[in-house]
Amino acid sequence: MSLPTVQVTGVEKSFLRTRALNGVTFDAGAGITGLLGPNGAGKTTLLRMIATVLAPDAGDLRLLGWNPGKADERLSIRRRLGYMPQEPGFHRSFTAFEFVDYVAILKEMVERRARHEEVRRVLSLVGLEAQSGRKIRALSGGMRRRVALAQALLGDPDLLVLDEPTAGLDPEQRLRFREIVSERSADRTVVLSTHQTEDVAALCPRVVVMLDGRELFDGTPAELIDVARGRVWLAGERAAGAHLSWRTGDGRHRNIGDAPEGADLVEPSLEDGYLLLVGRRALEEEEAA
Amino acid sequence: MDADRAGEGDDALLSAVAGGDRDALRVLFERHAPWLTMRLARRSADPGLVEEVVQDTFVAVWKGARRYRGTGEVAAWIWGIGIRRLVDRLRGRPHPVPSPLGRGALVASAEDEVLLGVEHGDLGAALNRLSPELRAVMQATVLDGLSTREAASLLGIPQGTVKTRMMRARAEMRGALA
Amino acid sequence: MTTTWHADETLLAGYADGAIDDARASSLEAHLLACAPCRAALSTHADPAALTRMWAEVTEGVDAPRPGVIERALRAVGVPDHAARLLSATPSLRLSWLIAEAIALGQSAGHANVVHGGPREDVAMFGFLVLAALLPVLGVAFAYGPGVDPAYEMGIAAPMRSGRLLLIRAVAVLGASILFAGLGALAVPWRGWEAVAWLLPSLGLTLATLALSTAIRPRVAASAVATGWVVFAIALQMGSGDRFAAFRSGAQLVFVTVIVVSAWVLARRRETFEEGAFR
Repeated sequence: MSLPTVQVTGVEKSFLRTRALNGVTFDAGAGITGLLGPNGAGKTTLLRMIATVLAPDAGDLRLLGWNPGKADERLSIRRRLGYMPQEPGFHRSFTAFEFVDYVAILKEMVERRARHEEVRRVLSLVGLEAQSGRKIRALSGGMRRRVALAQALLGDPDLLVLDEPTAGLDPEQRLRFREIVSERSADRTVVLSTHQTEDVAALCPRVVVMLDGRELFDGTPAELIDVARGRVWLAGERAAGAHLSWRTGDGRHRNIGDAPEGADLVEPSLEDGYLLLVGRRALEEEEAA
Repeated sequence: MDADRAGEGDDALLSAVAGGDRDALRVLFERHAPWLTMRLARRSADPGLVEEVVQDTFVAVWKGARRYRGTGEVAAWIWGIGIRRLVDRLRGRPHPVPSPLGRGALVASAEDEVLLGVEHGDLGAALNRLSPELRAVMQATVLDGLSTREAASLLGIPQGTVKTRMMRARAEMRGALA
Repeated sequence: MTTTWHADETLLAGYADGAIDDARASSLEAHLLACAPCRAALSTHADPAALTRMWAEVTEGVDAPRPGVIERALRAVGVPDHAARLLSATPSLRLSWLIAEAIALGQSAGHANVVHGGPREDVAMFGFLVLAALLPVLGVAFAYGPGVDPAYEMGIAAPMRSGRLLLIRAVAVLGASILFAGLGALAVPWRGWEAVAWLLPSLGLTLATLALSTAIRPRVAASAVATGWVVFAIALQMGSGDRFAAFRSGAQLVFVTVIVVSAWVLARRRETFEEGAFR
């Protein structure tokens, strides 16, 4: 069995007075791994490390078998890496094609014809072929995200790092995005972050739940659901022993926590498992989203 | 992809192109590149040049779509771009007198007379009876809509010659129609 | 012109082969300008290989980024097209910026020219020299880095060495500055070599900014260097009573040292550009 593509061991990172990562450990191999967690959990910091944009203060990081702390190995990683940042920035007056072409040059594609072919290829992968001549500032938010995804796909990378790729997309766009990513994941490693449990449920055979710079859970979605088994029930109102409780559409309350005797237990969802682990803060953020 | 746009008129497609829609350009290309290529090939014996001119024309359509004022047929607009591009390429370049003109039967069959009558009436038959050089000049100026200077570039002859040939051609055709 | 008549297959095939006579061809051509169904019918006689070929070239012509004035100028002097593309994405190499720079230097030198012979000429000259040395530093600040380059993070994650990108841009920024300042110097020819006394300082300050950028953010580095320079020039002036103390041979030697030291620091610490933002 080959080494996992991404090996994170006890990684720590602080910014000024904030501890962003508090000793995170996990592995990721071929297929899609989802990082789930509320804002401030450290997902973006961790992804930036996996994208070799940031170095850890402590701990060990191995990507594609290489150590990003060493200059030449870091270069080797970057040659096989695609990164979609959380807030991609674009040059104001570039067209979609021009921008992806620019990144392609940064990815060392020097020969113009071949490079333009590759740019067209990734733009059509994300369905933006017809828009390639339009200026980015004239594109909708969902289309801009797709441009950002397209540049990450340049060169067919072995390791794809996507930070909140579905943020701000409507359900149809999210579905389409999931199709693009899952098609690409068979023998590649994809690590993505989200705070939408549906994305994880639909896409990720592996889930890592993060909170306050630590991983709380590392396993399959089914296992995450199991965390909440026997701990989710419906009642007429907010129950006393519930960690969390909210009104559902039909007027009853869904409660998560230690169920009292004879409670009306229900089949747990992925979201229930997540919320149980992450608590009240996550619920408030979901409601705000 | 094409099926979606089959119903769209050229005007609508051109508007889409002005908005940056590459697909619309491709449909326009599929509709107009074939006839444009053939029509240009009858004015230049160089197939490589004709291809380049067609390519340049559609790139010009992409860049200039906003300038199209919606007057008349898109096809005519495209032709205007294409023929002027050809003229530009030929300007100042030593080139053989285009050979496609002057080929083919000079005598029209009864069926042909009907066809000629459809588009140009009696003019058509009279046109056919002109010598190749005179016909070429008439075609360039009257049918292709070129100026004397552009026609001179296209045919590789001096402007003065264009003018005299036009006068002779008109005189001959007037004579034939009288 | 009728609208119910359409060309038959034989006619179209004949036209496609170039076999029909001119009069009929002309008639058909006039008809085709107005008849979409006949155009479509004619298309079936077209050469598919030629069409594919031509479309590939059209897409290349359409997609290919439209080079701006700066990019075309760069390509004209032999810069390879991919490097020219990278430079064209530099905020401080945009036409608007370059024009502003040219105007600033032009006004400064022009002012010295206008007050030539009068008591204010020296002050004007001092201003021009300080400015000429200073502008490339500002240019470098706005050439690269988080907050200035929108695609900064994607650039870090990409294999191309960010240090190299910064260097290419810095060279271009410096080159533009030197060109404009050199032209400005032409406006004050009576000052001789004094009019280009900004050359070594501008090199030194730019390299110092780049060297500092290995430790702090480019804009902070540039602010520090720019402020330090102005303070240095004025302090020397007040301390020695010589208005141009900052440009005499003593100071020039100092700048040679700055150039050497900065270049050395840059070479030693160039890896830091490959790491992400200092946040």
